[in-house]
Amino acid sequence: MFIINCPYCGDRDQTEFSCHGEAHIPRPTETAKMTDDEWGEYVFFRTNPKGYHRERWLHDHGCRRWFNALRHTVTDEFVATYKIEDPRPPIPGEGGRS
Amino acid sequence: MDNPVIATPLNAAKIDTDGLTVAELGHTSKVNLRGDFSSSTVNNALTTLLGMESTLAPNAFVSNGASTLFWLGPNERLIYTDSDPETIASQWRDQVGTGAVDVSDYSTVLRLSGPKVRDVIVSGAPFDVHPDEFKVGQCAQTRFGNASILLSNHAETPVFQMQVRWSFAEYAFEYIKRVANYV
Repeated sequence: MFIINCPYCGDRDQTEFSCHGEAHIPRPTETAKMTDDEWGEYVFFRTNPKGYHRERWLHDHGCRRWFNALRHTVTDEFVATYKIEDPRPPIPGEGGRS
Repeated sequence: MDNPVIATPLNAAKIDTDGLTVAELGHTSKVNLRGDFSSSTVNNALTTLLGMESTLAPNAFVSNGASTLFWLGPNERLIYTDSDPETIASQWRDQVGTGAVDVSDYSTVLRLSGPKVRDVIVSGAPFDVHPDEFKVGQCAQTRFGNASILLSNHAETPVFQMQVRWSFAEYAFEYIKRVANYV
């Protein structure tokens, strides 16, 4: 059990939230021109890192808002949570790479 | 116009045990409001419709007797009101242009009081209701068992209100009733 900081509500229990996969995947704009390979890339392929990962989270039982989180997939450490429109917080130990 | 008595899911059920009193409130008119609550348009609408200001801290509520305004999200508020909810909703849509929905029958409200209230709530909610953390005038959307609730703190005695969805009302009520035997 751990605590997640909702950017709108503050610190809340993890059971109020659900995770919805990798964040910052832009929806294709010219869908009619896309090949099957490009569609497959967009729909199915994810970076799936062992380490820091940017994810979309939803505060289901709270304010029902979407936000992003920077989480370590091994340690479950939440480095930061941030609103959709906020700049991406840097990944720790990588010289501020975002 | 006479107000007909409108049914509530628990038919005004009550729990009255040692240290805990629970009662379902009568049918309460509720309106869900969406909009930019920092704008003057919204502020004007709230003032004319409800006599209220739009400034409200996150997870807080205010009441002026006739109406109560709850923070639900950055662009979402909920009101309990003695006025006609349909009228308020349509006037809001006219004046502000953003969504307003009569949600009176989405949910019911339980009033919990007595010294055991906090123990009962933390038995089902992963939320800190210690008086230092959850003060009078604060509200929180959280979970009670498997039911999403809107919890609000109305008095230090303490008096809490738990708004729960219509279809989860019986579940939450039974949960409270059983837990009350153990806390």
